[in-house]
Amino acid sequence: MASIRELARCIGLQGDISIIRNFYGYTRVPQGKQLSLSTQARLLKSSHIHLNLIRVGTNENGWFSDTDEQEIDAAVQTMRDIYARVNIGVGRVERYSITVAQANGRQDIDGNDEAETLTDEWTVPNDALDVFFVLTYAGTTIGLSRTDGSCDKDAKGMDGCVIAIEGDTITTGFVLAHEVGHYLGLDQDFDDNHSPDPNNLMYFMVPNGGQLTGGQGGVMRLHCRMRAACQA
Amino acid sequence: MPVNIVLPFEPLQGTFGDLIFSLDQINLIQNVAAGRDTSFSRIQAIKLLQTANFPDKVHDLQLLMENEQESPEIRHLAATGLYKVNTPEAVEILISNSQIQDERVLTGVMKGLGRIGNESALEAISRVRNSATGLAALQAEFAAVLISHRLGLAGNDLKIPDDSEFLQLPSDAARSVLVTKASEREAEVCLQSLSTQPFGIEYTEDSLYQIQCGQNNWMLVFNREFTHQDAVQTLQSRKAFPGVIATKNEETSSYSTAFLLLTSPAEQPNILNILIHRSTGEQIFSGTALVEGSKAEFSIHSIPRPGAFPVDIEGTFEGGKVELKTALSGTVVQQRRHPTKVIQ
Repeated sequence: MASIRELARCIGLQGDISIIRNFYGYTRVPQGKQLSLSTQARLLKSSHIHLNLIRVGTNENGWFSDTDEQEIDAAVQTMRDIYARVNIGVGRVERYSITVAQANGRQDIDGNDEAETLTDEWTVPNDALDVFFVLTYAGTTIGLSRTDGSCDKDAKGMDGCVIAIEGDTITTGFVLAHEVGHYLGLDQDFDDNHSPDPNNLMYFMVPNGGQLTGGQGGVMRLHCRMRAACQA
Repeated sequence: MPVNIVLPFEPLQGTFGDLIFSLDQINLIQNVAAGRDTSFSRIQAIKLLQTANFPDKVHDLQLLMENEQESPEIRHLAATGLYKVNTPEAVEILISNSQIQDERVLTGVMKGLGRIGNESALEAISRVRNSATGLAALQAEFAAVLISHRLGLAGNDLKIPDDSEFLQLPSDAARSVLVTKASEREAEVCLQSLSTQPFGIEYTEDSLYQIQCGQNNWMLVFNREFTHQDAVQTLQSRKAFPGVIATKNEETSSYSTAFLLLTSPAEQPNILNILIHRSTGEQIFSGTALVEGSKAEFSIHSIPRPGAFPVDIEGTFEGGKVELKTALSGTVVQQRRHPTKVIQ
């Protein structure tokens, strides 16, 4: 397992680590998912992205309900499965909390302006993409991101993604993968031939086929938020 | 297009935000929203209730909001849905629910009353201001401010920041803010988006201004009431809600009301206070205007807060038209807040 330790160091993990909680960043093995350590190791030896999962409106201990935490775990694994198709990994996954008392009502998003405000007001100062999970998002939108977002967390504008917990693990996973895809430079619902493809991850409805083309993988790999392959 | 959940069935016609369902589909959505059917997500059903052609959706939403057995998420979404319906009946339901105990739901009710409530809502809002704590009390306070400014009523005045509180624009790190008159097509897109986000005012279709500031694309939209030649005189006579600034989201290609432009006559003669708040109530920009006849010469600056950036905007307003002399913004934001890391 020496190479796992080296990979862990490569993604910024120090000291003794738990494979599930630290190496994958889950609270437990996501329900209905199988984890393959060799697949995760292979993907870290390719381009990968780190995520800060910022839960907005947690209890004072920093947690959502058990069901919501499981939904987030499953969503991240769904995203890992989708991105693996173009050989892109999800590396370090850390959890952060904004309690109800701190959130100033931002756990309930009533419009896209409020989602933008949330990313304007909060950030984690590290090299990972900020993903804010909120408890409700009114209207028909269930996730929001800038396309080709900035890597400068001191710059103006939306510097993260906002995702609603919808009570449906599959949907939340697809929304997470879709919105991060936008942040990494993918446009909405067009494939390489510029026509809508209902099977593509970037189609405007989710869940969809979750497919990514080689061209889309190439666009994501060029984004400044993408980490270089680990050499372990 | 925004990312949407795949619908559980094909609507008769329309797209998200403008869907038309058959009677059977309406019954199914109502049953799922009420929790009597679990064939698809309740949250999705409630969102569909808000946006589609339901004959009696006010009552469906009322039942959900008032049911104390429901989760705060479901009840808050129902409260939000009610103010977006924006009918006198919805206002009455929100007023009659101003004693709800749950803080999140009450916050939604207060937010709704601020946006679509009238003078008759002020008494209920005042009770919440005096009895509630936390966010519900803050939203009640801002609801009273909004109604009072919209209707030009006495009381519920805003704190006017001192000039010394403004963020200073660094001379070596400023860039121009581009302000242009919006094209007819872009104005139409913006007004269509805003039609689903009621704030109790009617917008002009004539003079919309696009504001480009770094990666941000905004639209300045005036209240129709303040586009006539004597608008400045009216602003000098009473508090007012002369317009909004909407933010454009590239992913959805739609606009969302980000900032509310409020004014009040200052104590000094011929001076107006300008206060720009987020739609959720926080003060973001502020300034003053010197009135000369039908023209107001204004300057606007930023108020410090996490994520704020300095601006220096100067220009004139006359008859619903804006002309800018200076429009600069800083390139770096004030330090943002940091969430707490949870040990895994």
